[in-house]
Amino acid sequence: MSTVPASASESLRVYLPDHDLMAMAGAPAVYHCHHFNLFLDQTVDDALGREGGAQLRFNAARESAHTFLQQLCVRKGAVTPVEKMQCAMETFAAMGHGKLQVGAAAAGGAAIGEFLHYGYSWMQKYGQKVRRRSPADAFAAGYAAAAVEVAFGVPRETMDTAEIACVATRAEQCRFELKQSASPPAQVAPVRDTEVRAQLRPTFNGGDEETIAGIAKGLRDFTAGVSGDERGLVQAFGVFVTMHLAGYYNRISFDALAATEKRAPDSVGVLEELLRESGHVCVFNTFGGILASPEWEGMVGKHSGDPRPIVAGSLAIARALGFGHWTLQEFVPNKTLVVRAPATYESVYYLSRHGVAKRGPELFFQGAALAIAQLAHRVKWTEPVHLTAEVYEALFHGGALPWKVEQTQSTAMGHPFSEVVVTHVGA
Amino acid sequence: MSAPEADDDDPESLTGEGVTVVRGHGCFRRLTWEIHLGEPPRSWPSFRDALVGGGFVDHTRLPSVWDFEAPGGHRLIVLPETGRLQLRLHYLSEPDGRPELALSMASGLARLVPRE
Repeated sequence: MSTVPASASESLRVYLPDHDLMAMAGAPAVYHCHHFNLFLDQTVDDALGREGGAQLRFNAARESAHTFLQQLCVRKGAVTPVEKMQCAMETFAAMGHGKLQVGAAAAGGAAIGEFLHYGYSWMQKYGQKVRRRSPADAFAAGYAAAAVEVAFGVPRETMDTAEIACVATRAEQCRFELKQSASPPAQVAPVRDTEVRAQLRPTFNGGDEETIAGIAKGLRDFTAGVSGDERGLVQAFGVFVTMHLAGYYNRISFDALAATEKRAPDSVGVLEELLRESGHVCVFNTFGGILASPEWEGMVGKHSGDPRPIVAGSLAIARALGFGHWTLQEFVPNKTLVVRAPATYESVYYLSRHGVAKRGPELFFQGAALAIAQLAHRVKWTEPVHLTAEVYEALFHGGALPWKVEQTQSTAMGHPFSEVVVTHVGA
Repeated sequence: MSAPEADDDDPESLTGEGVTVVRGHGCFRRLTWEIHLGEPPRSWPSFRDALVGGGFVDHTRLPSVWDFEAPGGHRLIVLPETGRLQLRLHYLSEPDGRPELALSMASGLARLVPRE
């Protein structure tokens, strides 16, 4: 982890007041680690097939990156195509996505990637034991397409990118070809910070508010100066961290669900479970990594063994990562955890893009809350913590989970807040 | 997806010259190590001075979390209040030699501890 001048990302990062939703140059944004990113991409591919999944991931990246880059270039004063392209690539690296060099114009061209977050972290995580046969960097591909569109004034979502070589498939470097799309998709209205703000309702607090708010502020201050290192990666808390576009995560999740509902309705439940599991993966790896870090110990203190501070600390982490103003409404150890938020990064997107939901669509929120309960009760924080893949398997796949989660309220359904209730199965 | 992590078979800890290094949390590719010095510093400010004198560059941002860049680009995190020391090896360090490198650096740190 290294720090660079604020121009890279810090000055563009904004938290919506009292809602702890983050925006980057007017685009909704959150922090997520490589474990979550790889898991979610894989989930989408599992649902739609390798080709369909990759296409959706590319489309989502191109759309969300276009919205982001258009505003970014305005705010950074980038005017010429060269300036705009440079602005896009520097920011890509500053956000922890790696190094991308695009040599293309309106008609198309090529791009080269080094240390791209998805491909590189896939190799680091799985490369020694698994062979991958398809490229991993749909996000970089979509970002490169959007950068060309914005830099050269090409209509939105009309550039196509193919990743023709990827380090995840053991190529020496990632290479892309860009060209004008033969069949651009129908465009839909973007979900920007403006749309998010328009639907926000009054906020509120919950239990342990002073503690949670204090830790969240400390974490936000600490992450404000964090930027990509010389590789364009952010390595911290034992994970590769990205500042990412929330629109990407939301679109691939909700569109994969919608497509599955049409094509294979019997599989929807499985996909929903996997999307909930993305919350487990995130909380276990990123929240766990932060909780186990010396930075946490220095800022907050040593762990006591009481589950409540772990719950409170986790809600603070969620806020600092831009997930929303997650509050503690009820906590009875070994029995119940109720988390409520005036909005989440999932709910605001869903409402803007899809309208009122028929059932609670915040599957990441649901899974994350369950995982917080699991982390608070099943990890011995007073002993040296090793949150390895084996520990994850034991905690989340080693038999029936001791917790169940239910979304009881959702702003995406028109309720005044979003709420998830985690209950111990034996309680 | 539940493919195995890349370095499942690595040693959990190494001991030598009175110091022990233990693989840190989330340590992929053997990069993070918790250091246990045989005899912790009696004076943390003096230890801090010794680190700087030994070529460590102070990048501390939080008063309670000292952050030093070691020669070679490695990072040393020191918590004077709890005595925790965490070594974060540079990603360009040779992967197979990282446990030994961590132990060697820990031994070097032990030698920097002031002994009145």
